[in-house]
Amino acid sequence: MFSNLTISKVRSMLLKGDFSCKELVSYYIKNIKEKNPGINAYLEVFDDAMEEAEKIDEEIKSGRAKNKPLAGVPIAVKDNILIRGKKCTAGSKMLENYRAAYDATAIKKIREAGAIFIGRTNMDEFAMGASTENSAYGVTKNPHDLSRVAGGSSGGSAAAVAMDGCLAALGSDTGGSIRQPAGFCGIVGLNPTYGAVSRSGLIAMASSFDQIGPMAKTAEDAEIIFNIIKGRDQMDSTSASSTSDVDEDVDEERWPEKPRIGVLKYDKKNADEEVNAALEKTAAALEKSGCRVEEIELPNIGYSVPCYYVLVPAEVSSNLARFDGVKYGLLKEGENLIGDYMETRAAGFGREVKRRIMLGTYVLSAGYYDAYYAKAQKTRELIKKDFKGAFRKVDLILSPTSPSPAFKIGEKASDPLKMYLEDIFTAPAKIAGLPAIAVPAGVISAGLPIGLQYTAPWFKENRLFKIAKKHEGYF
Amino acid sequence: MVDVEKLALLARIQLDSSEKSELQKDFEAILGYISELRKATTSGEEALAAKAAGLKNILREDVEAAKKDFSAEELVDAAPRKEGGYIKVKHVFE
Repeated sequence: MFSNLTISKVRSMLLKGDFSCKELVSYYIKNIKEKNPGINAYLEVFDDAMEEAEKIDEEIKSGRAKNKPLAGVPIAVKDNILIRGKKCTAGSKMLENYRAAYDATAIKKIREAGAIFIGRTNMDEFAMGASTENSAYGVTKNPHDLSRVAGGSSGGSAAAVAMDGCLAALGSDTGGSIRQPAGFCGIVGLNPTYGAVSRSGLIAMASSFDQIGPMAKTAEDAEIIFNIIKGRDQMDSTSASSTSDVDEDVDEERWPEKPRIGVLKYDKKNADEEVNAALEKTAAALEKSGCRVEEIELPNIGYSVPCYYVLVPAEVSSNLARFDGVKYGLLKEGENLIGDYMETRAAGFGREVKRRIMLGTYVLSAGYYDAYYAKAQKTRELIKKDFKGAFRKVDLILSPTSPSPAFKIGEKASDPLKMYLEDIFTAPAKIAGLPAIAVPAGVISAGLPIGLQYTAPWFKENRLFKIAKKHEGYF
Repeated sequence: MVDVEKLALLARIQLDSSEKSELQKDFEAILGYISELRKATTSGEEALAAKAAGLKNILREDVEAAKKDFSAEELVDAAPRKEGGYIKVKHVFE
């Protein structure tokens, strides 16, 4: 009864009384108990989930649940999104015992919609990584093959959905952290337009990139959650109402009949053959269904990853200055105040976090600022301009999500550059602040899922959902 | 050659000697890679756009901000060292 559920199915079945919310939550908790010891998707299952389910059951009986679009839907939350009263560690020893004093805006909205928070999920420390190997609480394994990574940094959320440990999850995307693990685990992941979802209550990594987004089994589920969490928020001055800032050149009337799809031109050697084949298969299917398909070139896209690894560490070094052993989290005593800072940060941060803070310190330091940070900002504008040009010709851009399916645990862990190149297809949208969705594109011969990605113009998430639903019919 | 020791001090991170040598090696590789950016042909147009980047100051009224759903006590409580409702730190001046 509980297999192949979606949000709309759960909703109608709960309201009809096919099962109770308590029964639904027990099903997921039983699944988690069985599978999580081997996978490590969840860091904690919330002990009040059953209590919350009981409340929803009462609301269903009394009819109050009718106005709550997520009534009784069990959702997992990445461990960098604050839930009042719950621990929130960002996958770091630094915040091992930290408890959130307030709800993130996205959490507040989902709570009001009636969802059940079932637990918090594992992630790369402070969302820095592409494999969840950088978590201070152990790696998350891929439910499709336990010798492989689930991707990162939202690896726990992706694995939780894929192992049927929840109906949907929240993740956060800074360079690909929702889309890459979604692709590795065979689920749908949306990176919203920068500003579409409030960042209030998301532990900051790189503030001009970070976005909270849904990870789900279907495009429709991702759409339902996105429509609940989006919108301007007083607590985040960079948030925008999602109808603003629309590109005027765009003719919405063409939808959904004959959208123009630009297939990204890239060096085929940069991706596995089976990834390239899935892309070609999809392009052919789109064309057959009436879409106009053409190749699209973004001349400066090759600078995306270098640009990303200047700007993000710069913002990281500023944002993570707050972890100083004074305001919250870990404190390791030194000889004096500076000693406290240095000892606390040495003990609380893992290798990748230290590496990025120091890299950011370097690119922002006098003498290097112009060569790295200022140059990267200019390059960011260059890449934005490429996308603007492309979206005059096409309505959507199709590309791989990642160069390959999930890699082996340990395969890239010792080489930061290799890990950074995981972002080659996901970073460009972040550089430009664009929305992009990762959708499953079948299973390759090794039994591993792969994902493809659609990118839309600013605030055109509606196009992504439309095309993703069409795409779901191809695989 | 990157002065890792000086950077660590600026970043307020104590490093042991194995971390220092590892970071030294990583830095050479990463900086080599991100130096690719030099080849990007950016002009005054991008410089101007980068400066503006579509941003403007957003200020709120100088009144109490949105209704808070937490108390000052809860925030102070998260600090590792506190006394009498205040966060306690070591001497700033020696």
